[in-house]
Amino acid sequence: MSEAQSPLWDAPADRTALFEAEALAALDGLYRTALRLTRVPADSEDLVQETYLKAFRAAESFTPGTNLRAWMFTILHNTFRNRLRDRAREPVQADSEAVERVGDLPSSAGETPETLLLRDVLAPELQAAIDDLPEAFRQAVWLRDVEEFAYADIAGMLGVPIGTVMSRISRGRRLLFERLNRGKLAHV
Amino acid sequence: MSSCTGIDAIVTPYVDGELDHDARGLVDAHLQGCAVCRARVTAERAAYALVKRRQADLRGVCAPDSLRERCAALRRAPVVPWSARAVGARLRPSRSTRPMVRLAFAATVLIAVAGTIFYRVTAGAQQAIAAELTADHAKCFALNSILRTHQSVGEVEAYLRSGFDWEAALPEQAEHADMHLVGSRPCLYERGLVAHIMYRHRGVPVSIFMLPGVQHASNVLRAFGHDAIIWNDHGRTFVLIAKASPEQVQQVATFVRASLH
Repeated sequence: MSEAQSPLWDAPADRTALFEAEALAALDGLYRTALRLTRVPADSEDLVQETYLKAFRAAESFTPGTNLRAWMFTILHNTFRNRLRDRAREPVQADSEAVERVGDLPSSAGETPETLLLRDVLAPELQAAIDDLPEAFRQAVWLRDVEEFAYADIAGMLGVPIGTVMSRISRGRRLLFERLNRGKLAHV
Repeated sequence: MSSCTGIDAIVTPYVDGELDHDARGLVDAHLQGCAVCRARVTAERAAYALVKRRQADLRGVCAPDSLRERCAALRRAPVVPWSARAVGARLRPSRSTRPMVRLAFAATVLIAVAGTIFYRVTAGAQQAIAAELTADHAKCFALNSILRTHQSVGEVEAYLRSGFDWEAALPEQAEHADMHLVGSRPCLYERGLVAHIMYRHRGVPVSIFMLPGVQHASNVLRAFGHDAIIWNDHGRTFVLIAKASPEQVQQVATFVRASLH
């Protein structure tokens, strides 16, 4: 936490340059994640641009030594939520609540044939299936399994407790499994 | 064997390979006897494996160059100090996350608080309790290694006072006995809420459970390869759980019995 511990952060000018370079290195991941949120490339670009505007302006509130990439993703999600709120729709909240009420998924998963079928699923089909998940599940699975964030970081981004993050990851994966299997079995 | 709800919170870290050996063994043991959870893990693992196999492709989508240029140009954007501070005050994920994570930590396990619950325990039930508390011991330490929470003596004592009406005095200078406090959690088991205090003794996880309002005969039991030592003090029953050599467990138990009130 102490700035003096890291020689990288010694000079203010260096510190700013490093901060900016590291923040910009997160661009591709932020854009991909924005696409999962908005589903529209133009909206995603807007969202990412606003994220950087806020991040650079708030640079002084970033604690050196903590996870800058996670901090950028948190700003992205906050910005997205604020935009929805500005439009007075708040579908995120409604969606999340509906999602938490979803009961346990049917446990029809067998041991081998279905899991083997999933091996053939290619990236475009998988991407489409992920994008079809309800938003809360989609974000949790995406941030965990594709962008590889820790549970606690994701909890901060989505503004939900860590237990909820884990249960959304779990349900999201199972839902993905069920849907891809159904598609596969239909073609057999 | 623990119940489905008992292991529910650690199934996803289990699939992700984030559990330590003991907690993994706990889930494995449950899965052997539970087809429902086995199917759940199979499905979760298959989806996880698929995403990992296609991860490089999924991450292959890059931001357009034009967007990269626009974002890089924002570095030179003029900053009005006052508004910068205002924005900064709202955007502070690393700090605002902590209390929330701590709340979540409790919420994961704390499902209902209904005041002090009185149990009626027979000698025959002791083995079941030892098994259940050992499962909690493994689960709480597994979660703790993921969340990395750490509480001070004052925080734990305040929690025991408000949560269990227990004016507990934790051992002073426990570090001199190689005991390092990790924290406390409420643990729900089938007969109610118990206080769970976690230490590490020379790195070995040690749990001390306080069962309010129960009288147990002193005893030493084994469960899942752990020792469970039971004793009474001022109308409260304590159960200490650890997996170590008999000498180490005895040493820790002697220290705790002498210094925890």
